[in-house]
Amino acid sequence: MLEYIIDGPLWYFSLAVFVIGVLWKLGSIIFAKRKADFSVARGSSVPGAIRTVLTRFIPDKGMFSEIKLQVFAGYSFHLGLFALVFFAAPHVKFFDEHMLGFSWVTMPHWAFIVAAQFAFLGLLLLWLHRMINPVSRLISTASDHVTTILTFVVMLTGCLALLESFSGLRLLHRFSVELFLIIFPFSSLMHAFTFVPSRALTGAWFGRRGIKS
Amino acid sequence: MSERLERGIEALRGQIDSKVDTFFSSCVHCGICAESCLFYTETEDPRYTPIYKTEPLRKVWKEEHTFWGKFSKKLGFSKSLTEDDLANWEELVYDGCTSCGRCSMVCPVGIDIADMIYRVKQGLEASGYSPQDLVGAADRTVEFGSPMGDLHPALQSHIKHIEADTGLTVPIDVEGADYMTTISANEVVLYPEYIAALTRIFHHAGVSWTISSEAFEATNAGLQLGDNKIATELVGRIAKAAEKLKVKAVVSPECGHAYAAIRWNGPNYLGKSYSFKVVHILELLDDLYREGRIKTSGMESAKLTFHDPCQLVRRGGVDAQPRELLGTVAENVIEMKDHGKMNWCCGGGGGVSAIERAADLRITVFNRKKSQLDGLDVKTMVTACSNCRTVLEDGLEANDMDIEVVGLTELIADHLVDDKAKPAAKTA
Amino acid sequence: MSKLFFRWLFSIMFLTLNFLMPAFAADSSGTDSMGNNSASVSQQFGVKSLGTDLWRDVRQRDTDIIGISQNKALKAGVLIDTKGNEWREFRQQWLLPYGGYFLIGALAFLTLLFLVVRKSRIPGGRSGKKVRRLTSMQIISHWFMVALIGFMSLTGLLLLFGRFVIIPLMGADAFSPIASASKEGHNLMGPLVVVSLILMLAYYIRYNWPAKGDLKWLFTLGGLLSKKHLEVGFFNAGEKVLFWLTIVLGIVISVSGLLLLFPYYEPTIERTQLALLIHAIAALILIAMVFGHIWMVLTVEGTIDAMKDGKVDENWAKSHHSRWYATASKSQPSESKVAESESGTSEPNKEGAY
Repeated sequence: MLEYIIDGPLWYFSLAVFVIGVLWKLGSIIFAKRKADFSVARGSSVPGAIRTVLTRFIPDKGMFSEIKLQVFAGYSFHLGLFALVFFAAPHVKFFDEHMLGFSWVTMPHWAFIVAAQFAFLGLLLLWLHRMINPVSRLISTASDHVTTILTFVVMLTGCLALLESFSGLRLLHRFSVELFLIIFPFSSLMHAFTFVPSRALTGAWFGRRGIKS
Repeated sequence: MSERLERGIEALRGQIDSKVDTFFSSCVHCGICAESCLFYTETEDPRYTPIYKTEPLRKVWKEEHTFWGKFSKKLGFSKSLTEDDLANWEELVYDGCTSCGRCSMVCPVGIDIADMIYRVKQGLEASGYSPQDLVGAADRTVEFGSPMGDLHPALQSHIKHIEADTGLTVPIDVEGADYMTTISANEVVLYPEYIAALTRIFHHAGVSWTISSEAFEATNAGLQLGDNKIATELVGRIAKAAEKLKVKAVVSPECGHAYAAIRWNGPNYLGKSYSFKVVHILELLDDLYREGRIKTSGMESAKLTFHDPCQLVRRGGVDAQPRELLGTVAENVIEMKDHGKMNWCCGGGGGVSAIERAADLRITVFNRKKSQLDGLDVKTMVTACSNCRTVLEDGLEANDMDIEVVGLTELIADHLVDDKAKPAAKTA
Repeated sequence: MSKLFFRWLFSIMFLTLNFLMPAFAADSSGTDSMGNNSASVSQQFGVKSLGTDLWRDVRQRDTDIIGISQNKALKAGVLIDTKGNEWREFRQQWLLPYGGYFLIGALAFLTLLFLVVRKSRIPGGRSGKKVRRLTSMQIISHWFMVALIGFMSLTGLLLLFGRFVIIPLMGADAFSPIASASKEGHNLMGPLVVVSLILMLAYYIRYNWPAKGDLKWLFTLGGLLSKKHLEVGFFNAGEKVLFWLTIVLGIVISVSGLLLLFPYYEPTIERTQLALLIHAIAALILIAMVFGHIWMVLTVEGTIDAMKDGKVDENWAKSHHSRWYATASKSQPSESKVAESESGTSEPNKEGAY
């Protein structure tokens, strides 16, 4: 019964919530009415926007020594997670069979494991930092902790089911993924999509003034 | 709900647009902005974390624009904005933020945090939780023309002295002049040498200019207070005077926030474009230099450094001109480690220097500028903002540092060639 | 219900469970209902099988005989490898029971200490003033290691002893996925233990070199026996022993673990079995040490503070680490717990705005 729900209705429900939620939010941002700026521009906003979307991946040189953990752990987690979600063989197989109908090149198994290790390393260090550093402890919300734990559970259940031989473990993983997809549009996980317009808006603001940000 | 809280929430609500929504949706509370803010780095008090200063705005946004916020509000367990929040955030937002914008430059998801904090000021001001010092300054500006009251007598006295010393005329209310220059209250009261320098340079370069007796005050106390209505009124005065005198351009003086107010915010306050251009004095000097209308001689040989006023360089876009100009009169410019658009704030901009209770805090955060200067071995620091000058001088004095702060325009004026109008016995 | 009551209740429940554990151990030494094993049956009846010599050699009972084969694989010359079975017997007769007794004994001993030894209060009580002892990165490194070792211990113990606990409680159908999950989890997270060791070394090694007073501390068991105040630096000798044992055992566990994960270096069964044995023994010792470490931290009041926000009470520092405190207090302004904010205005909600 549980297997039927997790592989069936709950999957479609979670997928729908995720897709509709993300499209709704992005749509509301892209199609929002923007106030005209009557000041005379010194530079252009569009190149500024594109520039900032790309350059914010690189931390400021002067600040780097103070934010080493966020940078290293952050990239370790994000890159590891990206690699294992989109290029791990079991996932690509899933996308092929259940969603897209085509597949693409996958990582060798050892690379999958290494990517997972980087992802776990980054996530654990970041979450510990969130709880221990006085700044992040003050500004973190319940939502931040919930989504961090949920992401960790998704990754852990995936790791536990690596042998791909027990349906209980697979279902646990899939169920945690479905929870993740449902919570996604209603939490700061949306930054995965909204960071682009966010950087673009600020980049446009600075670009208009002729400052490379 | 009290009336003050209601007004505050209403004002904050009015500040929430798609930009705010995008920003709050993207913040993952990483804390990197804290490391860019001198109020945090020098006090290690996490409440000065830039994104934390936007809490009042975030609470309203959450309750009215997010699913969980609306849901929890309906069920009664939402942590709504309280009047205590407004009271407690007054110090963080007004004393502990100069809108320097370093945070906006480093946020990994690109949030313009400085802009968000400015929006919070609107809410605090509307609810009456803003520092009395700034409220008073704004009121005085509206009623008398300047934050320090009616500065006409002081200005006239300075003009008389300048004309006597230099033998030149300071043109007042000249219709059809090319440039109408505004002056900040700080310059009138503390650095009248700036006005003398302007007079000499404009004469030397053959610039047709004037000062409007109706609207010479550049300082926008409304911007500092976070009251867009007052800010609009003050910018409107300058615009009206400029239109009345039919000038081609308005010149903004050495003051960062004044530049931001008239150059970038002004047209949007008024809801229309100007019929005149707006330039910062450094932009004008740089143009004159390129046209060959300014000729200088001699170079400062002593080591000196440049402090970048935040609203001018980082938030204003005038980042090339200061160093171009400095390079024409100084041959030994040593840069601070973080310079240019990532330089650190003086700690007193945006009205912070006017808040008496924030004096100790300003001295504490000056430690950042101090650590930038330590090891540079300079005796002179050049800058282009009269407010920065005051704040820097206070900090240097409190730390017994033997460094002179000099205005860039005055430095240029001191090196003018064939400047018969140069007063005697002025040390370079 | 007081705190003390719950302490006793849970300790007794825990001890009881400990002592009942061995009863769950399945007896699997291959005996039949009459207490005979298969080898002794044929001996009893004295029948001489015609191929016994041949099969004795093939069975590798007396010596290791490796034949020649055209097949060039690693163990192609061995017809029947008995090492797997030898290991199984060793594991079931020696490693599991004695390892288990050791662990349970350690836990029982510490539970006893926990109940009997009075909590060591801070002399003079809490002063209310704090001094910074650990940096953010030091705290993060410690808890990162805790998380990893905790996970590895749990999965490792499930792999070692799991069937004796899970199968009686939840059945064999439940045990299979649990064991599989433990194996996958244990294997994947393993290399991260290396990272945590590197972090711990990087952030703590300079406080752990031998220093004056360490031997004295060891001989007097940290002043437990002499009750005299000892001059102690950043870490006392006991803490240094814990640090170095953790690093050494950690390295042993990591190296043996990596050899198990990546048996490319001389992948013989002997190597693997040796690695497994060393891995298990070192892990059990480390786990017991961690129990001891936890007991120690909970027994000395004020110690856990350092790992919560990095700051410790001044009286705790004066009493337990006086030499360190003397230098630390000079370079830091002592912070009063009451007036922690810089400004004179009322503070925003200190727990965070959420």
